[in-house]
Parts: sequence; structure tokens; C-alpha cells
Amino acid sequence: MARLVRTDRAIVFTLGPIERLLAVHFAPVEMELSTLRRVEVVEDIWTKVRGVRAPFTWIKDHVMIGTRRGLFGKDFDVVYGLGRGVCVEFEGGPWARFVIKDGFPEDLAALLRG
Amino acid sequence: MSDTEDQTEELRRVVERDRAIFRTVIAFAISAAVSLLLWHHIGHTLTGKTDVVGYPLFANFNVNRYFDAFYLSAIVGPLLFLCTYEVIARVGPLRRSVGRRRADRRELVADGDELREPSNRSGRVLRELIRLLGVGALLGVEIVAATAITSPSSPMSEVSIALAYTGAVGLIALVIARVVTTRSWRSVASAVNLLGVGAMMPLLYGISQATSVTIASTHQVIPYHWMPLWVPVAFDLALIAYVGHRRIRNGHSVARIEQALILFVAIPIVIFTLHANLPGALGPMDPFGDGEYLAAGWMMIHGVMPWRDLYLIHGVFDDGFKGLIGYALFGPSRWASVAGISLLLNPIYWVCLYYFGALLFRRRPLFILGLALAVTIGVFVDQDPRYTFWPLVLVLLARVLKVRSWPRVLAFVIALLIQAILIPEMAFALAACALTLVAFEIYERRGPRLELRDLRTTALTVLFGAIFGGGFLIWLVAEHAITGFVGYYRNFADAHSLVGGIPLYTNYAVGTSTSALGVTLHAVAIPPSFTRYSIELIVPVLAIIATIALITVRVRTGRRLVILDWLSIAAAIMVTLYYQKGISRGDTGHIAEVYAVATPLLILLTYQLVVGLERAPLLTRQIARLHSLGASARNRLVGRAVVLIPRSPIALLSVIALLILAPSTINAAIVNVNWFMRASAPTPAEGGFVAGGPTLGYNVNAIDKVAVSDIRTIFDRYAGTDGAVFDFSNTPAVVSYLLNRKLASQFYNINDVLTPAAQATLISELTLSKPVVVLFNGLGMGAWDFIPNEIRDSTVSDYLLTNYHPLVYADGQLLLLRNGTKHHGGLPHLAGPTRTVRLYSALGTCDWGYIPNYLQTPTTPSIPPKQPSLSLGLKFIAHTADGTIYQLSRVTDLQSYHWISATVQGATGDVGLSISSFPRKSNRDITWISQGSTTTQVEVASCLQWHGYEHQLFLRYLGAGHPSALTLIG
Repeated sequence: MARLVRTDRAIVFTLGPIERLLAVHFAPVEMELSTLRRVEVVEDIWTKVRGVRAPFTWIKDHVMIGTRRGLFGKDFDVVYGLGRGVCVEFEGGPWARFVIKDGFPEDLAALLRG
Repeated sequence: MSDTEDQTEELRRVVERDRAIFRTVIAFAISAAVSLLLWHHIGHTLTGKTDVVGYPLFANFNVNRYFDAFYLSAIVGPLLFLCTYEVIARVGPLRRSVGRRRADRRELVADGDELREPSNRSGRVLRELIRLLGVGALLGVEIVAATAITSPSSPMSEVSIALAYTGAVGLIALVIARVVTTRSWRSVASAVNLLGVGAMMPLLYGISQATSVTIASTHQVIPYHWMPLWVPVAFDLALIAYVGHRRIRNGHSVARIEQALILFVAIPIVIFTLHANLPGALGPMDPFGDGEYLAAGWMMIHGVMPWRDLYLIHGVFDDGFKGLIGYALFGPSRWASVAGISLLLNPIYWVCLYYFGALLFRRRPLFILGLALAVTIGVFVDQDPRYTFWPLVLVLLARVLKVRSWPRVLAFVIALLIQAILIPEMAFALAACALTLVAFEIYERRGPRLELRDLRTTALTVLFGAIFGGGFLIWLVAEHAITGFVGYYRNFADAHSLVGGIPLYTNYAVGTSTSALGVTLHAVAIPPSFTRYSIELIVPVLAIIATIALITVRVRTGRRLVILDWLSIAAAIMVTLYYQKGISRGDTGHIAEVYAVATPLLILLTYQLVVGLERAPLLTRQIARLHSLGASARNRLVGRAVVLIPRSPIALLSVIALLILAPSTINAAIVNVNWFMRASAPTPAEGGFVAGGPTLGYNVNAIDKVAVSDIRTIFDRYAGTDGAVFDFSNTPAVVSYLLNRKLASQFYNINDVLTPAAQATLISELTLSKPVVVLFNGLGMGAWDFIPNEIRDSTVSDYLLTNYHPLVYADGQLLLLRNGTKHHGGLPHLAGPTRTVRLYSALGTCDWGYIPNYLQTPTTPSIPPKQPSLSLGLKFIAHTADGTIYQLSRVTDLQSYHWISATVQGATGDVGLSISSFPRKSNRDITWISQGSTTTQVEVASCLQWHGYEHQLFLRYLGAGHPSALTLIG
């Protein structure tokens, strides 16, 4: 199961092997802490899903794992089903956002904010 | 042949000519008579029912008459003429006495005159001098624009530079030719002149470096360098490679390469320069019209995907990319977006139009020069970036018709598909090009009978179309965007005329008129003389007829159809299809759009006319005679002068006529070129209304800032800084752009919601997103063609007014709050004037006009709660000047009913009906017109005032007859 964790130098998306396969993404997904701009708790996590799939597994409103691209850059999203979650925004670096659905988004957000 | 046979043949020719004239006159008379007869049977009023709302329904105005008039004049009439002519030519006393002439399709026929180098030395020297002067003048324009060497610019600067350049190049060439090489002076001059052409792009880079805005209040100069250095470097390297390739591999002469580079590099760069413009401070902003592209581009940058998340009525290019190019170049502001359009997209449009002619008519440089002048000095004034691709698609079609190879077909198909996808209204081009291609292949078949292999290119086109079009559709399915893509055609393309139809010659500036029953109507002002509007309305139709005539004459006279004829056919089909869009909303802008689409056809026809005249035997004979006399003249000077007479005198005369008759002049086009990229603004660019949001940029009174701030305050208070809100007022420039609010629906302006299906989609999206606040009416386009959004989108309005209640009327903006929303401490302090009472009468009369007579009403209204119908009693009160007043029986739960049904008896003409809570005429009225004795149904719950009515209602009845029944429907 995908998790978003904060290490002493980066925010890291940890993915299971099946999730990496579904995301068609095998390289590490992480962003340095210096690029962190905002951590936001979102009531409906699907509202933070943007851009087009490139590539990943996506069944609308059910599951979405992987990269999304657009003129904004690229996001990495892991969302299962409807509900709340956390959106982490970065400035600079390869990723513009990490989006993850989480049952306890306030706790996760606090953890990520450090 | 003996004299007698000669005389007989001559007599037969004269008789046949006379017969042809009679046939033409008779066929014309019959086709005109039949067309007029049909025209008189077309009704002035609407018939039948529809499910969309627009001015035609509101004013009982039959917009379909325009379509019928167009079909009769551009299609039925000409075809009737041809059929009649053909019948008369086969039977009866006027039948044709000679056999039909068939074109020999086996031989290849050139499109136009071959490019011929002058055969005499004088002509060659003159041509080289003209080329040097031309490049010098073009360099002069670029130098003045880049350096602002004079202020204000005068054409003398360009002329001086041109003369100096010509002298310098001529001298250098002379020295090199005498000292260094054995090549001729002309050849060396051509080579040196190539360097001049190579300097054009670096000079454009110089213009980019000089682009700036000066702030008048602070004298600060802010640079806007829009071209990166690698562009001129890469361009010139490519130019060198091209010249080397043409010279070494193809063995082309330097003069030929020089001409190609002047036509395809130097002139387009100057056309770009003369049309590019950096705006200064912008004036008032149209929250709807400007907002369409400002907001869509802004949202697309931030990950909103067209078709899936965003419904774009003008397509991804016009509503999306058009706006965001400026953001990418100059930053996130309205000024930046407009600058991107005026500095890049508009000039690119003109350059593409020029390339259309330059690529197709390269054998006639004089005609290309004329086209360059035409696009520069105001002959073609209507431009719209969305038509940029159409001339290029036609060029690609020409290349396919010329050589039917798979790479050319591939390029053509991809261009055609990209255009259709990005600009959906240009999907008409698919049909135009497909029909032309099929007809071309049938015509160009190898044997007398059509075989499958003859349609090879068509099959290849279909195959590539299926691969790329199918691939795109699969991608849309994968992105969950296919519904939105198809939805455009179901929503917009179907409903355009009945939603947007207005009378031709509608002049918004003249004001309005009011009918006897109080319906507001567009004022129509037909000018006494030909205006630009009239010309643009009529010329495309004439161009279609001219194309039919041209092709018919070619076929009938046994001439082979050449590629330019086929292009004319494709362009004429396109105009025929697109013209209907123009007359389905015949205001100045839409008629101009048709004209822009017709421009390639007009250019093709003009070319055909010029070439046709120049090929006239009389003219060609006389020119050949003059040249022969010149060559053998005893006086050397006279001989030289005579041989300088061009072989394309009509093209030359056309260029001269263009210079004299064009709306503008070369002087006017270049006089301020040094200021095109040096703009000024009175004050610095303004900041945004929200953090991270876009700004207005340089502006002077762009918008009511107090109103925008107040809307933001209310949004923030009730929906939070990031919550979804909904804009029912057509104000995307404020809601989705300046305030950077999250969309509650894919419809970012309500103007895009035209059909019941689209309204149902919107309601389902609102049910899911549950926006807390709705901007119901205000800065944006709350009504158009006198029909408020509440009536245009009655089902959505009914949904909103049922589930929301008025919160405040602030600075002229009515905001609604979702029922059951906590008030968070009440209304925040607002800077502008506010009102929280009498909100249900804030928007004035809800006038349905004739709409209920033509609008299909749902058999079961879909808005809950459903109520059993309630019949209302009518009690006569009084006769007044505004109509007879009836009191209706009291209703306790009025707002649970959504529709009212009224039956009129004893009336033969139109009668007016008004429902109100007052027994007199007031701005609380809900009014409509019933056409005679009939039953009409009105969705009253879509009107704001309905929700403010209490238990007692009154009916005001104006006209003959009387109301017999009134029923409330839940």
C-alpha cells in the first residue's frame, strides 16, 4: 500500500511492487524538503486530480495510481476510492504535486509538515 | 478546306454562340423564377417546437429564412440553372449543334504560367535591381522597428536604407565580379543579397530585444524579450543548410534561391513585424467575452483538461491556447494574454495566409507580391487566429493532389485532424476536403471506368484518418473525456441558429425597439450604401457561385481541371458549410468570421481571374509582338525599353490598382513600426485579487475592483478560500480567472449550456460538487438578446432557485447561498453598496416573449418536489391600460410548483399574459405571449421573483379573448 513519508531530507512516496506496476513507474518518487511549498488536507481528494494520465492506471472515481502531466508539470497521485486525502505541493524539481488518499489526512499532513 | 466550308463553319459557330446566349438567358430566367417562387413560400414566423431557447423563439423570428435564402441563391439556383441549361441544350429548338467537348485528362496540365527568367539582359538586370531594392526596403522596416532610428518613423528611413543597401550590394558585387571571380555581376549580387535575407531573423530578434513597456508615472522601462537567442541562430543555420542543399544537390541558380528566400523568408518576416503589436495599458474588460479565453487558458495551465473538466465552446485552441500563450511568454496577467495574441497569434495568421498564396502561386511572383501588399495594407481586415490553419490545410491538400504519395497524405490528414480537434467548428473542413479528394480521384481515374485502385489516395486518407482519429478517440476514452468531446457536437453544433439567431444587419449601437405587447426586439439598420458588413455578407455567396461558374465553364469548354480548380472546389464547399454559421448569428463579428474563412477562396478566384485574363489570346499575341519588335528595334534604347514590358501585365496592373484602391497605404502600415513593440502604460501593472491568482496587468479601469473584491469576500466567507462556487452570471473573467476559484462544473460559463441535455449534465455536476455560493447575476452577461440566463437555462435556474436563496445584492451582483448553509457570523463587511431586502425583485421582469409557444415542455417536470397539478380560479378585477387584471385563487405552497399552464380562448392574434404578486404592471412580472387561443406552459420557478411571491397572485391579460384556465404544475 502506498505511503507518503517524510525523511530528514525528502518527502518520499513509497509504493508496493504491484502499485509500481500499475503506475508504470519504477524509479523513486521523492522530492527534497527544500522544494516543499504547501501541505493541504482535502475533503474530496479527486478535486486535486488534474492533467492527463502519462502513464498510470486510472478508473475514474475508483482508482488512480501514477503520473499525471499537464502544462503545470507533472503530479504523482495515489488515490483509491472516494474520500479525504492530502495534497502536497512543491516548487521546482520534477514533481509539482503528490496526491494521496488517506483516512487520517490531518495526521499525515502534520507529519509531512514536520 | 474550301471557302464555302469555311463560311459554313463560321456560320455554324455564330449560330451556336447565339443559341448559347439564349440558353443562358432562358436558364437564368427559369432558375430565378423558381427560386423566387420557392422563397415566397417560406414563412416569416417559426413553426414547430424545439428544446433550446434563443432570440428566434423569444421574438418569433424565423432565422431559418436566412438558411433558405442562402440555399436558394448559392446552391439551388445555380444548380437549377445548370440543369435547365443542360436540358435546353439537349432538346428543343435551342439544342446544341456541336458535340460536347471533353477534357483530355491524360496529359498533365500546368497550373499557371511557368516562372520564366527574362530572356534579355536588360530584363535580368532590372529584376536583380528590384530584388536588391526589395530586400533593402524589407531590411529597412526591420532596422527601423528594432532600433527606432527615427522618431516618429517616416518611410524615408526605409527608402534610404533600401537605396543604401542596393548601392552597397551592387558595388560589392561589381568589385567581386571584376576582381575575385569570373561570375556575372548579377550572380554575385544575388549571392550577397542572400546575406541580406539571412539578416532578417536576427533583426527580428533585435525587435524582440527592443520590446518593452514604459511606465509613464515612473519612467521605468520594462523589457519583454519574447524571442530566445537560439531561434535566430537555428533559423540561420537552417537557412545555410537549405541554400547549400538547393545549390549543391539540386543545382539551382543563385538567382532562383534568392527569389525563393525573398518570397518565403524576407517577406513573411516583415509581414509578421508589421502585424505584431505589443499593447499598452488595456481598457475595460468584458467579464464574459475576455473571460472565455482568459479563464480557460488559466485553468488549462493548472491541470484542467479540456473535454473532461472543461467545456470549451470555441475549442481548445480559441478558448484555451489562445489565452495561455501570453501567460507563458509574459506572465500571468490579462495584459500578458492579450499581448500573446496581438504579438504572436495575429501576425502568424497573416503570415499563414501569405504562405498560402506564396506556396500555391510561386510561378507568379508578382501575384505573391500583390498578396503580401493585400495582407499588409488592409485589403483583408478580418482576422481570427482560429482560422490560421485553414490556408495551410489547403496547401497540404494541393500537395496531395499534385503528388499522391503517402507522406503527403499523412501530413495532410494530421493537419486536417489537428485543426478539427482544436477548433471544432473547422470540422467542416473534413467534409470539404474529403468530398474534393473523392471527386478528384474519380475525375483523374486512369481508364474510362472507375476502378478501386483509382481511389488509392482516398483509401489512404481514410486509413490514416482512422488510425489517428481513432487513436485520439481511444485516448479520450482513456482520459474519461469522450463524453465531453461528443457533447460539444450534441450541445453547441446542433443548437447554434435557434440559440444565437438574430436578424441580419442587427446594429447593437442603434438600440432596441419594443413590440405592441412589450417584447424587446433588436433594431435592424440596413445602411443606404454598401458597407463592410454588406460586402462580407454577400461576397462569400458570390464566391461560391463564381466557383460553380468557373468549374462549369472549364468542364463545358473542354479544359482540364487543374489543382487550383480543385482547391477552389474544396474552399467553396468549406465556405458553403461555414456560411451557415455566420448567418445563424448575423452580427458583425460572425459575418466577419465567414469572410475570414472565405479569404483563401477569394484569393484563388482572383488568381484564376488574373491568369485567365493574361492568357487571353489577344493579350498574349500583342505582348509577344511588342517583345519581338523590341528585340529587332534599330534604336537600342527603345528596344531595351520595349522588352521591359512585363509578360504579366494584368498582375502588374492589379498590384498598381491594389496600391491605389486599398483601404490603407504602405506609408500607413510602416509609419509607426518603431512603436509597435514599444508600448506605454500610465501606471505599473497591478497585483492580483487573490494570492497565487492572475492579475490584470497594465490596465486603465479594466473592471469594477470594488465589486470584484466584494465577490471575493463573500466567496471566502461562505465557501472558504478553496471551496467550489458556481457562476450563473457568465462572469468567467472574475470567478474562474481573477478570483481563481475552483470549478463546480465543466461549464465555466453558463452561456455554453444550450440544450436540455447540457442542463441536465450541469445539474448532476452541481449536485455532486455542491457549491455553497452562486454568483447569480452581475458583472457578466446576465442576459443576451434580451433573454436572461434564468430563461435560457430555465431548468438550471429552477434548480438553483429551489436549492439556494438570495444572500445579498452587492455592487449590482446577486449572490445566492445554498439552503441550509451555516452563516458563519453573518454577512461580511463589503466595500460597495449592498442590499439584503427585496432581493427577489432585484432582477426585474422575467420576460419569456414568444418562447412558451415554441418550447417543448417536459411531460413530467423533473425538478422535485412533485406536486399534483392545481387549477386556479380567476376573478375579474379591473380593465386597465396595461390589460385586464384577474385575481387568482390563493395558493399556500406556491414555491412547490414549478410550471404554470395558461389556456386562452377567443383570441385570434397574439395576447400578453403576466403573472405577478401585484395587481398592476411592475418589475415583479413574469410575462409571456400566447399566440391566439391555445395553451402555453411556462417554467415560472426559473424566475427569481416567483420564489418571492406569497399566496396571492394576479394575472394581467392584454389582448382579445380571455383566459379560460390557469393551472400550476409541480
